[in-house]
Amino acid sequence: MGSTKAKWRGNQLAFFDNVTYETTLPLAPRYLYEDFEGETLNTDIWLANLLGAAPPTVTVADGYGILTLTAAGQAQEADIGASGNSLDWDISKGLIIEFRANIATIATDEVEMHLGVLGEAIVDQQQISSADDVAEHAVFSFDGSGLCRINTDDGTNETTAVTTGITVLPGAFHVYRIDFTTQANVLFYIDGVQVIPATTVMMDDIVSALVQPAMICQKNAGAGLGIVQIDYVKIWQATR
Amino acid sequence: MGSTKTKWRGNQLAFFDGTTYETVRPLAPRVLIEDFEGDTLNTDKWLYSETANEDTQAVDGGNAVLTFTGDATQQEAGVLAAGNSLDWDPTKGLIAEFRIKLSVLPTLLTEVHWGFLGEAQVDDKQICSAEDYLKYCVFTADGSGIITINCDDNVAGAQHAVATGITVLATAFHIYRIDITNIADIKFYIDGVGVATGTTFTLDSLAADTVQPVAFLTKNADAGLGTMLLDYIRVWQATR
Repeated sequence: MGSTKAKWRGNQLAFFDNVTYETTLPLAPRYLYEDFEGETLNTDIWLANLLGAAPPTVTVADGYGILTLTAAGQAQEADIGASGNSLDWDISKGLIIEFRANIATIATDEVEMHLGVLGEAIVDQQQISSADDVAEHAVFSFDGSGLCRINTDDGTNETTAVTTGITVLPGAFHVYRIDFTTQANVLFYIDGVQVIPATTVMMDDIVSALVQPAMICQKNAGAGLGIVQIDYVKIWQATR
Repeated sequence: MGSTKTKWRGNQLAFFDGTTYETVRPLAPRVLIEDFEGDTLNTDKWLYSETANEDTQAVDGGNAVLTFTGDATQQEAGVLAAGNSLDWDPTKGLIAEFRIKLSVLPTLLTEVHWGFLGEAQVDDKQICSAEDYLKYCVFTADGSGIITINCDDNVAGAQHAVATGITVLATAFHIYRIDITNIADIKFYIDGVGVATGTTFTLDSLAADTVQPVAFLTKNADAGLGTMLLDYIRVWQATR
């Protein structure tokens, strides 16, 4: 059990757990906290994007949002994005996003999993790892394995499948944070430790700074499996 | 980008943005924060006004968007407490804060009000062009961008159309706060600055009553226009 401590990032005070590095309460002007309580996705705020007849599912249970693919050899999507695919968050305004997630079934074969933001709508069968279909994104990715990589693209600057050196195990939750407080130097953290520190990730040439939070589990073909449990999503901005 | 700072009002600690004076987090026993995320009004907590007569009410882009269309008819558009419930107590250190842009300034008979009502919001009731409500404490824009204050507890001494000295533009959000920590001396603030400070506003005779937070447009007739973008409502009480 960690202790509550305070941090100061982007001129914003926030409280965090000093063992897990979960940001328990950011005191930012704009703050969305989704803890996936209850048993139904809150569709006032979120969109469940599904493709596939097998079927893949997006569910809420036990305090998690759960993205599940099945073994059927077909294209599948089990994604959560913003309701209406609305791009309501601004990476030029001190945006930080944090997920606590468990890759409960490690991605196999062609399965891709992504946690982060997209500067566009979630579209079926658009891929980030095995194809460069999504023009604007900044995500943690798992592509056919438990190895976590970073993918970003602002339409001009691109970071492609840079390894974090972290390979996750099923059953273990980790806290993933993307910090856009400096748009020309976006920072990525897993469990409070900065990853890919030697890579300067730039998202400052993006045409529009508006994005949506995205949790994606998908494949375009094959019998690959994958289950992502998302415990929470927290997203905040230093200015409106 | 403002820095997080602290304040102490009504014996309650709160954090605010040092530039905009937005109260980002009050640490009060009872707090309601509505940021209008997603694209659907949370009707567990909120209620749209009467929707007849071509006015429009929606949640979009992080705002409640309340619009009069210019039809020459009586119109209402607003966000009220679900069930018009009067669940907040002005004798218990009540404070409310609204961030609002009048993106189309009211014209003709259009009245825009945001603050507290001590009764249900009812179709075709006005505060400025007629004194239809008995108990209220609101910021008002009546047919223009001039912001005034209206406050009445249904006894002698009501304050009507008290000037704030502020005229808003259709391009700017402002932060409006009503502080009822002293029911005999209610304070009004715009962007952190006290307004109408030469007037003592009271709701003394509401001591046995409760109120609801509201933000609405109303007009009795004519083709008056007006659009309110309601970014957030925050309400908190020092005691339960």
